[in-house]
Amino acid sequence: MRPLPFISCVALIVGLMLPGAAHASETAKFRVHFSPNTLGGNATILVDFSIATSNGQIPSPLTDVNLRLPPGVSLGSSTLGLATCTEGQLKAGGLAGCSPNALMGLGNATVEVPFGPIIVAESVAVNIFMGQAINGHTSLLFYADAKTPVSAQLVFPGELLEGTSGNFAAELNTVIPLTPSVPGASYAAVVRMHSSVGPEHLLYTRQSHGRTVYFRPVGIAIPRKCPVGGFRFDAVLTFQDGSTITASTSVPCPPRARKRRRAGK
Amino acid sequence: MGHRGSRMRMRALLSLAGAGILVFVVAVASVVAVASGALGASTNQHRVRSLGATATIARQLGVSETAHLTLISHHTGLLIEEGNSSGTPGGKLGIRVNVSYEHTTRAAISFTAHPRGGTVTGQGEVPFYASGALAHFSGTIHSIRGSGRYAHATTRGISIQGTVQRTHNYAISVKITGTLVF
Repeated sequence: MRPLPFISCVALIVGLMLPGAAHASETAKFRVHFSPNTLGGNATILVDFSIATSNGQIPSPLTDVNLRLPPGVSLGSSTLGLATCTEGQLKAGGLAGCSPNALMGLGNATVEVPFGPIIVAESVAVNIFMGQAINGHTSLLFYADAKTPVSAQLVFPGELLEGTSGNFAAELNTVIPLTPSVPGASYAAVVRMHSSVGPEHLLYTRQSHGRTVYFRPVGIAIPRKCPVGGFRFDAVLTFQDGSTITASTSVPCPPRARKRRRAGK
Repeated sequence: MGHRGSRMRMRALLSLAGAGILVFVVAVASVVAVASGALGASTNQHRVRSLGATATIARQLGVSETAHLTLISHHTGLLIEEGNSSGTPGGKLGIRVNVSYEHTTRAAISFTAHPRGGTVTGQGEVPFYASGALAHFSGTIHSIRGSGRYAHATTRGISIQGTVQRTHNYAISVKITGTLVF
């Protein structure tokens, strides 16, 4: 973590003079999409969640996201992340420190930073890389780059673990570090996040006969059969105040392709 | 009368003695028979044991095969590959690695080896993870079947470990080690 404070003077003064906002119970909305949503195909997975509080105040900072995946949705046959990246490379060189072939997805988040009574929303760009395996588990590295009013670059890993509950095959467990805003104020709190893991917006390169060839990686495998009710995903969100909420969603089964009638019949 | 009486007693004694001898002979014969039966059984058991031991030694095969396989076909998450293996017992090796359908972090693996005189098929599930251009799988396969010379093949566990090239050719390198009993 390499927070680089770049704060406007007014915000700093207000932040130092006033305490952080009180927290209320959090609620979450959670959506997942496949693009394209084709059984037996390869897709980009789009994940959106937003966090609010019952009284409209800033939520407690998010500390852990556990995304539970349905059976068959896997990286196994995809070619996402053909190179690996390390936390050290990202911290030292930023995005340029890693091979483009390690990039697996993109996203953005909105965090709210309390400066006393004023809540400042900040947009954060998120890049998702293939990390080096941790204890025999596939790992992803999240690189969050915030510019203003708080300038900070965070790197945190997500580990793909075997599913431990219900009908979920795997869990992407991501521990999110607390992001300081200004001295004396609360940590920045994630209120919205949109991320995609898959080939959309990605181009990889390889060398062929001395020339650089661009290609789009193969996306995440979608099973051939759709379970009743669709592909269910759960997100278990844990907050700094110790509270946990579980949000569920399902990707609907795609409509069946109509059989073409033979000509003359 | 006295002579007749003594003769009678003599005959009675002789008949008693004969009966005793007969009983003795029968008893001895029985004992011998039982003993010989028991001896025979133990000999047989010994033979079975010794045969078993001989057979076990004769029919244990240390497997250590390495193969670099090429893709024959693939569907979503299922890679079907073939190639020749080197090592013991050697021969042609086919492998199916299903990395998609059941478990996201595990691969369902089945392989068929074609050593001389039969086939050996194993299947199981092992942990699977990706790291850059390679995906790795490693674990133990307990379910073994065979045909021909290996029709009664069993194992206490065959280790399989390998890598999948996650680039377009999905080439698999695999090493299979363990002991096959057949």
